Amino acid sequence: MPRLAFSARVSADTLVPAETPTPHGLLRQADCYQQVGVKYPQRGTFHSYAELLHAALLEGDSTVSHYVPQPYRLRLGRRIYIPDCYVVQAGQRRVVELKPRGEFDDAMQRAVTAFLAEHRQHFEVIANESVFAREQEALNWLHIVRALVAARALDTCADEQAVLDDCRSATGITLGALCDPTDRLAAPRREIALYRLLHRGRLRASLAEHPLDFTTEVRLCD
Amino acid sequence: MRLTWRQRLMDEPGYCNFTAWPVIDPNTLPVTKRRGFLRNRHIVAQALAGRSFAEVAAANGVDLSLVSVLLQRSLGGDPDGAPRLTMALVPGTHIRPGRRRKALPSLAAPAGARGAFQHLLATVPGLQAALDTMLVAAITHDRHGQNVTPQIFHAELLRLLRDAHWPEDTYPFTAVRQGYETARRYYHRRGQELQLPKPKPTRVIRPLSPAHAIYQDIHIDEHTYDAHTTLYLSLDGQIIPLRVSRVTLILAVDAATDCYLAYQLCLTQRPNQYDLLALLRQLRSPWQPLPLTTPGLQYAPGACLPSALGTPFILAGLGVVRLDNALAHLAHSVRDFVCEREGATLNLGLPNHPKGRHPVEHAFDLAASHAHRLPSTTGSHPHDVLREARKNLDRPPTITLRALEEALSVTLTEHNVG
Repeated sequence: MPRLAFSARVSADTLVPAETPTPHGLLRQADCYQQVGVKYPQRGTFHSYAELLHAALLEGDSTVSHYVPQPYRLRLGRRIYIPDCYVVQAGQRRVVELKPRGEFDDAMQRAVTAFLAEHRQHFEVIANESVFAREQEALNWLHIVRALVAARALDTCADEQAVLDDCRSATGITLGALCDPTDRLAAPRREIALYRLLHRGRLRASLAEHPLDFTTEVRLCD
Repeated sequence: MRLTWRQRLMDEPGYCNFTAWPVIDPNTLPVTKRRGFLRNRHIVAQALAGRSFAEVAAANGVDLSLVSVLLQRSLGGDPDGAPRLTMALVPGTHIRPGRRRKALPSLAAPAGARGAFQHLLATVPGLQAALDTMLVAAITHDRHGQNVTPQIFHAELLRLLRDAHWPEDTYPFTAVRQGYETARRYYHRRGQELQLPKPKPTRVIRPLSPAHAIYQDIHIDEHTYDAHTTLYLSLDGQIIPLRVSRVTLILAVDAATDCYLAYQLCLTQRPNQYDLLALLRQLRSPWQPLPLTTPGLQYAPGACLPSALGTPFILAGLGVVRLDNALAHLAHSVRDFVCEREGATLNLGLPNHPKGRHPVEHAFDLAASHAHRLPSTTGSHPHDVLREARKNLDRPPTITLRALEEALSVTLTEHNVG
């Protein structure tokens, strides 16, 4: 009963999404992950494995332009609530909370949904299980993101054009055919170029079922 | 939905074994029920052994339907609950909680009071919650509670009923002594239930997906060694002796291949961020074998760390770097190196769950088995029989740091070709 009372008293100092620093205590107590992304090019902290996988799936979704983990510090009465992720997808702004089985306090959800709706943001609770169901896809995207972050300074314009030309010449070409692993000089550049094209949504690959390897098929996007 | 005995046996075939059922000593039962219990037990045991029900009924001189009834009583019931098993074979045992269908006894229409108290609790709004609140306050010695006795409990029950405008000509007002006795029994039973420790919330830890490629899942941890020795530091031409009793080994292990990737020996019991950074940098520099000076030590053929195998192994991208939550691992320099420079994922793991990084813990087990062969070891714990003997306290057997470095180098690299 008292929880319903805070529905009218949701507030935030700012609704400009910026990652809320994770206290050392939480960093040491929770199963935290830190990862630099391409769409969030800072060291983001994810408070669970599900949050990390969710961020990886956002990286792989070409309709998502940005995301920010732990974006706001909302006040609900005397409680502080920090949502898990802020997502800009196809021009729409979403705020996402990940919970086991999608179970979230009803009163809190109503309050936060109403508050964010006033600011044209959609609040959504996602079940961890729905993220775990796409774990392989997320792990493949994590692999791609790590490679792209490590090779930020690499210029691959010419290689990207070459990869696109190869993909146009054949349908369903494999990653091994695009990046010859025996060519130690060119293969790393071609691999990064390929990953960049995949990340931008110019190419698509079958990443949902199997680990990314030289047999993975790559196609041009329609 | 209630399960039939057949469905129960199909779901949980272990119940087919009657010898695994709980045992009730017939001598503990009242004499009037003992004979019936023995007969029922015999019937169920034979039925579960696979004999036809007709044979079992004929052998025991009972009606055929009784065999099914007994099996249903002992095995049927709530699918989420445990079956009553042997307890259901005691004649007269109530399998389902009683539920009153008749109106409660009143002055105008006297009747039996079976199930009347439970009916009250279920019918009067807020009655059970109010009684529980009073009991909880008494059990937890709440400052606003009261010391409850069965008399007080009964009086409070009557007061709550009057507040709820319960008719005065109806149970429990019409059967004061019977009502009091039921309230007393409820008071003791419910009080015991409320005092039971509440189950702690358990955290379900999801198993990690196994890594399939080298460098994709790297586990790092530290291990302290006993090495009573003296180091000689040369500073501005002066030789300074320095006593060392503990050194720490930091080891990086690849989870997919169980290969040791790098190690760093620190001359301290508490390594800091720079020691960890030195280890991480070793992943990016080719490993060189030590020139061995200790007699009897030599590298196994092909023994090395992966970074000695060439550029592809030095430039390989890192996946997840798993550390424990030591303060040195939280240093921004470490986090920046792993995340910003290498593009890898940093995971500090769950506290008190070292088995999440079992490859590296197993590696230390291997290394400790060699280190504990030295008579100067302090062992794994204060009561370890392997720890240093008293007679060696004055003149402890020593191992030189160089010998320890060489022994570790040989042991760890040998593991990679084993």
